[in-house]
Amino acid sequence: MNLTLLIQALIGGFLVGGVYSLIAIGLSLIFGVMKIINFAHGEIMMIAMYITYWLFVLLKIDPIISIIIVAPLIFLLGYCMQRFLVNRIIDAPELIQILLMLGVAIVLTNLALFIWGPDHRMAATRFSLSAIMLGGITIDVSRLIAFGIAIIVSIGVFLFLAKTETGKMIRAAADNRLGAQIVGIKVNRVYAISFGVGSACVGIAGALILPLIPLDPYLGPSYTLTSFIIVILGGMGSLLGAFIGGIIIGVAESLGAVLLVSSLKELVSFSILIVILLFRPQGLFGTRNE
Amino acid sequence: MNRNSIIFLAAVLLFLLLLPLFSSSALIGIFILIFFYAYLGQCWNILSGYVGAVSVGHALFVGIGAYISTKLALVWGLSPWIGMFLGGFCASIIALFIGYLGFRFRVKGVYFFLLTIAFAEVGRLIFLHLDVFGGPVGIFIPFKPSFINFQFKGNNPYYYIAMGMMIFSIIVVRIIEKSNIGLLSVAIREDEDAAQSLGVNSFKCKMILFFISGFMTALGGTFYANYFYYIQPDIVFGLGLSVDIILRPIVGGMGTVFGPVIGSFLMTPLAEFTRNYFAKGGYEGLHMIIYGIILIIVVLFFPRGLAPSFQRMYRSFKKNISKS
Amino acid sequence: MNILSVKNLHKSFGGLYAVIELSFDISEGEILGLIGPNGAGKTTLFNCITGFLVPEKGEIEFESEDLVGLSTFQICKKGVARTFQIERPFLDLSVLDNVVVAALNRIGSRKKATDFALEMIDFLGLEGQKNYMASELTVVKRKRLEMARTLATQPRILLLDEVMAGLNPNEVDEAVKILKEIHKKGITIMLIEHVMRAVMAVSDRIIVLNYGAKIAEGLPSDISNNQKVIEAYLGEDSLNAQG
Ligand SMILES: Nc1ncnc2c1ncn2[C@@H]1O[C@H](COP(=O)(O)OP(=O)(O)OP(=O)(O)O)[C@@H](O)[C@H]1O
Ligand SMILES: [Mg+2]
Repeated sequence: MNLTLLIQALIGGFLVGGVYSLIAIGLSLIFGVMKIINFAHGEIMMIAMYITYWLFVLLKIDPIISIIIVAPLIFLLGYCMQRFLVNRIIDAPELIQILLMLGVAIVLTNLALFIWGPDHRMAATRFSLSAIMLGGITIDVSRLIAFGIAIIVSIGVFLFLAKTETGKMIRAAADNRLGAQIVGIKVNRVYAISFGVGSACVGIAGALILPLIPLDPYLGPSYTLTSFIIVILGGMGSLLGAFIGGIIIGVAESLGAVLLVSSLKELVSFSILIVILLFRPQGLFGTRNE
Repeated sequence: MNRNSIIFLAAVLLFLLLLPLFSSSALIGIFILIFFYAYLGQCWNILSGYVGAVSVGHALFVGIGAYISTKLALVWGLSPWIGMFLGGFCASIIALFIGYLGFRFRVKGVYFFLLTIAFAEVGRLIFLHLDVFGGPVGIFIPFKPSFINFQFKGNNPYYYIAMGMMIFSIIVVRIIEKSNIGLLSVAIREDEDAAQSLGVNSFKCKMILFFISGFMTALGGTFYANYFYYIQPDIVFGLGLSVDIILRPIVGGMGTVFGPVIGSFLMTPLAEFTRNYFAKGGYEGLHMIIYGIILIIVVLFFPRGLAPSFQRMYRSFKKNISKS
Repeated sequence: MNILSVKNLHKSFGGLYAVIELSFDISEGEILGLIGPNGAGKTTLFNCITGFLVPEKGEIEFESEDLVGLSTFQICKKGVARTFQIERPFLDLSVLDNVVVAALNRIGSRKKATDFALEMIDFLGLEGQKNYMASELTVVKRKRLEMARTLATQPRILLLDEVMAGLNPNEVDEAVKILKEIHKKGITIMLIEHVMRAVMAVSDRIIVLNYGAKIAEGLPSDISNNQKVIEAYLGEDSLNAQG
């Protein structure tokens, strides 16, 4: 085995893992607060990617800059989705919630198909071809930037939850919905904000990942699944778990692609998922509640 | 069952039997899909509807059934009519394996969804990389029509086979529902701990139902292969198919004998008509948008599926009749 | 002849001891009352006996067979049945079907199981509601349904967890009558109860738990005069206040 290749894969996976973390933090936040499994998570990212792509092609705005536009838009999308759809089934059985989110996913996917067509698109940004050489190892600049911003945004989310008034309300509502209602927190609004923030996370991740992967309307489910795997690995509802889980899965997939066949990298993560579900369903950082 | 509903069912059956005599091949094609999805939904219902272990990876069994019977037919010339049972057997072994892990380790709810998805995805990835099964290219099945080969000219034979499968699945579910295991399953679905404290061996119940469900789903896979003449891992093992399988019974009402059938009669034509209508107009994706919106509406307004609502309507209708 | 004997049982929840070094026996045909303040560990004891919880230490012998490590349904099959403090009916099944599920524990034929279930339903006075959905029952009737179900499993010993909570005095008297009839059928009974009047009336013997430990054991008349029991129930302060 070529050591350089291995280190290369390790670093590449680590960097992409940062973006995965951000995606998973979004999912975990939504789950942690309202116990909704967002089966449309990947589709929200896909929509964010198309918006970013549009801004890039039509207005020549670099994906990194367009975060400023994409994040609020996707926040709004998530906010409205919660307000008008999710909120109505917040107490329904899990299966019904999932079916609703699947309905949303179908609509979003086909909306994208309808508007943008089925072709693959790739955004060749200014950094697409630039790389840093360290010894024999090349590091993609786009990945490095994506990683950096993903980390900054993740920290931002942590700070938002820890320090701001809204963040505290979100945590209170997540902890104990009834209690939060009793002390006068408008739980519905808090839920909608959480859904918005969770969506904005995955939206930003979408903008960051756009230069790295080809875009088409069908990429949603695969990212939804990846983020589930990460969240289960880290522990449902644990944001720190989602963060570390993202890095682990990023590295694992990347190593899997080098050591096995590149198309088999998903096998690694699904195997991890199965093992975790059987032997440590609370994940690495979750607490088991019966 | 009372006399009226028997007469009603007999009339429906007669109508369906005679339908091919006076309708277009395209319509027959839609009915084949209705039957096919009703059948798969019913197979899923056996496990997920009755005992409440919701699988979102049932495509795994379709894929196994499709690939095994097809491969046996291509390599050894084994008739799919026999191969389908071998496929079913393999699928049920896999079902037992997944069930053993899932139920022994008490994987429940969302975690069970994800476990089943994970196994289906692992199946898909493995078949994508098995060159003997055609890898990502899949298998094109040469067209050699004959009864032995499970291949026919024209749609009518498929129509009757699919209808037969659907009726078979309804009968199986009905028998299960009336049997002890059916009653015990519902008890497990409602409250597994309480059921166990009354002496119900929930592990055994679930395993039996998973076995039957996996076996029957795989038979559907053989039908799929020989109806479409093409199988490919992303399609027959895909999450998309798994979702298609569960959609109809949930819309119709899971854990009921006719839920999956009602769901399929509503959702399948909807999908097909809108597809045909909009695809002709060049509006790709639009039909699925409408499909998704209708799904959302159904979920919001009939969270327990349509069959229970129908039942309630029927009951209050009867009450009103008898009052007046 | 002891039908059930518990030896040195320990169960804790992450540092909190719910049952500590508990030992006791029940002899065949006895009615044993189990009382104690809230959180004393009574339900936890039932959960250990019926396999819902695995104790850290100790033995639970039923008719000289060890129950520890068996799964819940196996324990029921051996003849130990329990009710739940908070009723847990199968909401989507009719009252009759709820009981039939339990009757199938010992009876293979559906027809015979149904007949037996109907008998139990009559016995508990639920015949008027047998075709109701369990979700349509009032709490009082739900408690009856709990009893009917456990009886339908044809147990040798019945563990009843606060089946009289929330009943009015008349209903309590009725329940006491039912208990005595069950006892006449030769079923050993262990009951957790806060309704003192009832426990005193039916129990042959009473055990008192406090903070997971047994603090007293004896005839009902002894228990009601036991200083420790009074302390446990009233709290030490009130005793001190009395001087
Ligand atoms: N599953 C559990 N996890 C953690 N702690 C538990 C659990 N079950 C019970 N406990 C704790 O163990 C102690 C004993 O509880 P238990 O339910 O056995 O009391 P009890 O005597 O039945 O009280 P009550 O009269 O209120 O029903 C309590 O402090 C309770 O909080
Ligand atoms: Mg208790």
